[in-house]
Amino acid sequence: MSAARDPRSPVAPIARLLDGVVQVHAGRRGVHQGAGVVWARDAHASCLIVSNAHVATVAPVVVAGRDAERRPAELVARDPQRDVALLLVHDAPATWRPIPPAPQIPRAGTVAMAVGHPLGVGHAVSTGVVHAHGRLDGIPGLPDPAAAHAWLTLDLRLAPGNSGGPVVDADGHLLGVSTMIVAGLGLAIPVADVDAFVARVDGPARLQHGWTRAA
Amino acid sequence: MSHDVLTLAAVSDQLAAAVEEAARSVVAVHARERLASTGVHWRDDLVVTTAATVRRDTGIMLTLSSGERVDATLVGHDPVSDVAVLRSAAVASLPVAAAGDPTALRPGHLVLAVARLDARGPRVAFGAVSQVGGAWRSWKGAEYSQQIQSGLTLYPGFGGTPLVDAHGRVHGLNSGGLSQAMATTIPRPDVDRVVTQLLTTGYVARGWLGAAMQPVRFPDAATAGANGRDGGLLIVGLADGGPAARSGLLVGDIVLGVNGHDVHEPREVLDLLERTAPGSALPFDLLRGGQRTTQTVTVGERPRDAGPARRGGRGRRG
Repeated sequence: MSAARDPRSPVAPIARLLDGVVQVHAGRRGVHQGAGVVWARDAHASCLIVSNAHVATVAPVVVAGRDAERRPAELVARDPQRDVALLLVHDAPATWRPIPPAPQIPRAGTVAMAVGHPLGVGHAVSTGVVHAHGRLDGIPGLPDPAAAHAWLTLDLRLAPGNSGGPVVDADGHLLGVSTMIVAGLGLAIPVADVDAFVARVDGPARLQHGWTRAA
Repeated sequence: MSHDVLTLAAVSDQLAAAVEEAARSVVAVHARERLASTGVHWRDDLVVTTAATVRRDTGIMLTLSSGERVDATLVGHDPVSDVAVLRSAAVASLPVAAAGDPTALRPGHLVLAVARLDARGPRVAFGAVSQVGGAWRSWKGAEYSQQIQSGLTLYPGFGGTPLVDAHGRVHGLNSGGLSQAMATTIPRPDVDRVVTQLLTTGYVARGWLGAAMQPVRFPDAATAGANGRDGGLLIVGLADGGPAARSGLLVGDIVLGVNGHDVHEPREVLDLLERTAPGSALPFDLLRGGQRTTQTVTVGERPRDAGPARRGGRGRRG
């Protein structure tokens, strides 16, 4: 049994996690790039994907999984304030599996992993810990709209290309969506805020019967 | 070694538990403009932090783990070793951080820096011990019993954070000023030593000469009398009634060596004084009027010029 298949292996959650991450290219020349999280999937192989609004800027949007094959995605909704966007992909490969949300806000010190495509390296994993959770006061360089929101703050190295990708805990449960780097800290939109956005834009209605969040 | 698979989830839980444990004794220190720094409840009613983050000596506040803000007074600070001690009756009821033994740390041990900057929860940086070495001296001349460097990021406000192991034990204080590429920790025994000195005297006494010196090079003719030395330190000024003047040093003397060590730069003399207790007698090897001579100098105590509010320059980091 390979390490990735052995459920007791430390890398098993990571192997599952990579199937829930896509690359996102937006605009005619694909100038805006980043990552996306497979959020939900229905019985007809349609997938909801969340990403950052600053990644999924404008149609057309194409996404690619680990096979690197580009598939068209519908840009369902964007919230530039919270910097979150929702995409819809039909006929998704069977390997694309949603990343289940973490049941609660993580404690500071909890191990966190980010998956994305930092500096063009596909499906790369970075590891660190949860630094803090909540609003950010007094951090120099924080853009205005960002100061108004709660963030999951991470002691973890993010790079351009991580944007829109998942941050998960040691069980592979989604903690948030990587969004920006401020003063060396990684900032992720807490999963509860992503959930609220998807509900607000009526995301689940886009999927057919029997849609699921859990892997 | 256990054959159980150590899952990442178990590691994660242990780190979060270590943070929770240590955070109970971690306070925010409001002793400068803008950003707070971090302090650790060390014992009794005492909190320690780094001296560089204490920029005023009155109006100091602490934020406790409960979110409560309380007043604190400055017991003393030692900019050389970068340790400051604060006192607040309100911290006496907080738990004291579990004591770690920094000599047991090895490269690869997982460590955390636990900060508190406000009434919200603790903030955390994580890494591994990168290097553990023997006794060393900082560029400011402070002596430390052990070198501890870790690959953790000291974010703004992380000066004075405890270095916490995976069991929640505190091994020392992280200093932004001492840190360069790697986070550097003031080992626990050195913090204890400075705390004791600050409680006794309010400051750390260091040796003083009261002599201004500058390096000089000898013309060839004089070199013979200096036994092959091509230069020394010319005394260009003496503090009135200072230790050097009282011990008989004269303006115009050229210092070749102190306590058996050749000296070429004023810095070397300052370094030596840093390690010399006031009252000690040091032999000075001099060139006076072209003749070699030895003069014994009784080292005095460096006058303390300033409280933290009057200190020049800004802290480098942390």
